[in-house]
Amino acid sequence: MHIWLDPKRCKGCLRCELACSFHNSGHKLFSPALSSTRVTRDAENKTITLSIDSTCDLCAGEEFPLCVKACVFGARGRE
Amino acid sequence: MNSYGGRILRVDLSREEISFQETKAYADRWIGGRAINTWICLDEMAPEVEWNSPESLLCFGVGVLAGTLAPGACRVSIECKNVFNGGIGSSNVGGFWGTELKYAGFDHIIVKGKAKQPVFLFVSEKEVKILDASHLKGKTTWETEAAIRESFGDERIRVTSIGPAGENLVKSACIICDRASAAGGSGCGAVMGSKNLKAIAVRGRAGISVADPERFMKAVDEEMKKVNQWEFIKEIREKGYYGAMGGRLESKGWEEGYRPVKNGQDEYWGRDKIAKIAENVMQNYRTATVACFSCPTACRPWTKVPEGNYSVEGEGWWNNSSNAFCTKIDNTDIESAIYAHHLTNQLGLDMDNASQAISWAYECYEKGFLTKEDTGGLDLSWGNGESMIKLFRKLALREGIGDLLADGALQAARRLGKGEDFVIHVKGQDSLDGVRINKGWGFGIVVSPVSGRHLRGSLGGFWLTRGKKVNSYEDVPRDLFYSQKKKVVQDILGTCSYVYGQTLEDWIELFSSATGRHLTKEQFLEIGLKAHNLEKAFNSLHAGFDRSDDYPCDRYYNEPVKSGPYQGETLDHEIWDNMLDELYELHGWDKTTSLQTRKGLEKLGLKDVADKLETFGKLAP
Repeated sequence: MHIWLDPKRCKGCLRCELACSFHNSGHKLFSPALSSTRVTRDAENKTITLSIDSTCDLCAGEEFPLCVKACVFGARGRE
Repeated sequence: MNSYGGRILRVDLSREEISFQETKAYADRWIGGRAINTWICLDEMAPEVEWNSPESLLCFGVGVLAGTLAPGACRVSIECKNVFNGGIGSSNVGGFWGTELKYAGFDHIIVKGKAKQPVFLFVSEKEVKILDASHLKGKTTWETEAAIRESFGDERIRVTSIGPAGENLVKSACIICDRASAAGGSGCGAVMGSKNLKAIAVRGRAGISVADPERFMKAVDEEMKKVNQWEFIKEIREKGYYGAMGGRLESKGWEEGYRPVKNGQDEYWGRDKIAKIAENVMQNYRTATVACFSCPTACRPWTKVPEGNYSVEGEGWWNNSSNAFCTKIDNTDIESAIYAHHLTNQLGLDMDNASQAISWAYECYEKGFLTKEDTGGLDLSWGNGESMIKLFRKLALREGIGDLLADGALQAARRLGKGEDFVIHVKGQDSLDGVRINKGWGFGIVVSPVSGRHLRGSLGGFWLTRGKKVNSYEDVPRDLFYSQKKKVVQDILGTCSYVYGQTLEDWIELFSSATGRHLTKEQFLEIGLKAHNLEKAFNSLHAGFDRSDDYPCDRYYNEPVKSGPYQGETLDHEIWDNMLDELYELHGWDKTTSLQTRKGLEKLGLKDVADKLETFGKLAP
């Protein structure tokens, strides 16, 4: 399984980062600093870049990857 | 404290002192956000304190649910003294800055004093610093944000700042968060400028906990289901709010008085002109939509004029924009209007207030009260978008005629000795909104303690649809009384009107599971009522407002709508009086004066407020 990313669909809301941090903290915290995925939006031209770092465990123990579930814009999915 | 940052940051810029308080000291009584800010303003500011004196306070308060996955919870309330009239100043803004503040461990920042030279604050979970901002003096909000971010080498630093307008104490100055989110109204940007505070930069790496994570996530899921099932959600995500809702050519909103024309001479623009700025045209300038923090709606268009004199791009274009930069001055040139939208954000001008002063100047020009000699050569004929842009710059810099307009249209008219009868204002504050057609919308705007603004419980728009005819007076006071309370609750929690489908019960479930604190619907609404009463008390004490201040300005009270489907629509004076009587009765206020009563306040547990009002002779006998 892997998680695909589509920055063209991303609106920059960071809900994926929040969801990821919730998983990474053992369902204890919301904190973008604890997220394995990263959304960066260029303030001047809106260009969005998405990434996932090596700390991502594909949401081991969750029913479904939380970042994918949190994204309502179709900017990421599980494959 | 679950769902809170946990602390309040106090900054005294005169003494260069930084101190901290536990949020809990206020949260038990006032929960958070707007209500805590308002209490601090009422409790700590003496009535004689001027908005621009060092003793005045500037209060930032982040919503209780902000920083969690609660849909769209990101908003910040900003309270201070209203620069137009000395009453309560209050604004509310989205973006990313507020949640970053919570990740730095703070729910509020209360600023007092005045720095000797321009400074900015840097706030993180590890340190708070007052830093020199001499190099940022005169810079736009966009330049300021970029410079601060670059100096720290951290793209995640979130910045709220003022532009030249705030530095020059222009009363229509706002505070801009994250380049494009404007905390407008009340002149809070001028208050910030009076403190020599150019910006607040925030970086937070801590986390927000919730009391019952599984229950909270279930509540989030339930809320998200509603959001995703909304019939317009797909379109709004694609086109933004303007493109999907209010800006559609066929939208009824064009007819219902939300966009006054030519300084409020009329409330209908005509289909030919509307077609030049509506979605059918705007779609050519929208390249994407973007979201605020944690928002599943993404109502914000990214607008771009690719080339020419008005080349610009950035976040935003609202219904207000089509009023402020188009209908108000009869401007059908969409490119100049989009440019003006982004320019006002850069200059740190609130489009609602600033455009109103400018449209008043255009009418003065029409009537010959202002000439090219007065305007520095600007042709202020209706429809001149190029002059509008130049005038916004002059306003922000207090240059020439800009200085005349910088204290608001009412003061300008008094200085000029002419034109006061067509100043569009609420309690002395320039006001964008039309009030003659939608009676629930208009009544809410005029009686609002924050002196106008349509997001203070006004009835209308898709989030407060009443199922009654738009120009019906039926049940307006009763419905407004409810929505005024509900809006306070929303501002306490930091949720957004544009996340559709949220009921009070939904908010309560999110709040309870996040904080572990259990309040009933009635208890929540009572907190809303109490906070509304704090604003009312502040106005009685600081501005001396009474019943006479709850009437519309001359033009809107006395002139009918001139054209369109609601041609001839007026405000009935007798009904207006009756609505005031009914609203005051619901609040427990004295009908003759509108002042609060001891009985009414004590019923709400506000004996301390009643005592204070009595001390200053502002309690109804």
